[in-house]
Amino acid sequence: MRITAFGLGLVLLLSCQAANAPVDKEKMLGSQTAPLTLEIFSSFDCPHCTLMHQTVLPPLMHDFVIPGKICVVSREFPLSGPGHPWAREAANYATAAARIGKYDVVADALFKNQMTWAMNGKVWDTVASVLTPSEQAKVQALSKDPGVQAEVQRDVDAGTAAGITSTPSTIVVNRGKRSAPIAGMQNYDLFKQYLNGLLAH
Amino acid sequence: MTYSQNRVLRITTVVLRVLVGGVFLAAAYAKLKDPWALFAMSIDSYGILPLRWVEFAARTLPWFEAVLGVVLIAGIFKRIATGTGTLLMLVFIGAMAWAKLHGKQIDCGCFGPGEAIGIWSILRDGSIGAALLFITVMSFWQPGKKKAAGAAVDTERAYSV
Repeated sequence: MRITAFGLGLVLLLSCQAANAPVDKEKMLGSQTAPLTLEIFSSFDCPHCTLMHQTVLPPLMHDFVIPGKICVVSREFPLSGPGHPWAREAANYATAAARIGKYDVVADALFKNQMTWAMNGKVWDTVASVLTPSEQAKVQALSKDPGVQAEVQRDVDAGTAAGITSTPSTIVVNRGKRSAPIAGMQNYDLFKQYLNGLLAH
Repeated sequence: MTYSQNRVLRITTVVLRVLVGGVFLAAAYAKLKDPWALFAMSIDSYGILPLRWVEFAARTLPWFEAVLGVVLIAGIFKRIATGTGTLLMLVFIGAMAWAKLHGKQIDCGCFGPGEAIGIWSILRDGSIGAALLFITVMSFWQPGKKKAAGAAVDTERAYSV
């Protein structure tokens, strides 16, 4: 368990290259030399994204990211429209948290408490619950920073340009070649076979 | 039906058959160029088949489409090929309509990933299905051949008389 935690921590410190548009290094998990990169476009208020985050990402980390086969890049794709009033705010907070090295903690909390904040709109309460008071102040200030908001918008634009219409969607970057977006939460067994198939070629 | 009308029908049938065969070949290539599990994920996202059948369909369907495409273009086993193709399209359209009605925001999987199910994909598959139905009907009906055969019989009869 301790080894796994160390491995995860080590992986968090590493970054990977292959992502096309500029990405905050804090949103990358994996080795610089990984042959494959997965760009996962998520919205924090999307239930399938939560499922993907909680059921696909952990085994993906264990089987591919920690062994250095794959690099995972988290991309923001906050859903818009009347059913998603808080998605953009959540993405802004998470991106702001990334600037102080707390992206994974905040993202975990947002997905875990999605049902609460997505209903009552108290996004900040969820974010603040996993940060120290000084971190809270920094994230509050950074979330209003035009650079942070522009970063979120860049991800949205990149996703839209790639043809993404729903979340979660995954783009696989294989030797510099970007796949078409794969929509939906994937069955991990099939996803694993697909990734192994790509790695075998 | 006049000779020229028959001719137009026959030419239309052949053109449609070759076009639809090409579409099947393109769809097969789009699936076969990637690891089979990618197509399996598309099938699985419909949530209709159990995993065992998902894997079976993902491994066999692209090859089946390829064979169907070749057979349609070559113009052999026309009735079986067009009939099977029509049924296949009905299954595809049914699955897409089902997913759309259930609000599933998933890939169609028709030509690999990246194409969400929408009115356009359903209309496209509907058009291919309609074309296949037309070719199937024509392969059974074949008015030109019937008339030619009838004419031959008439000629025989005339000689015998």
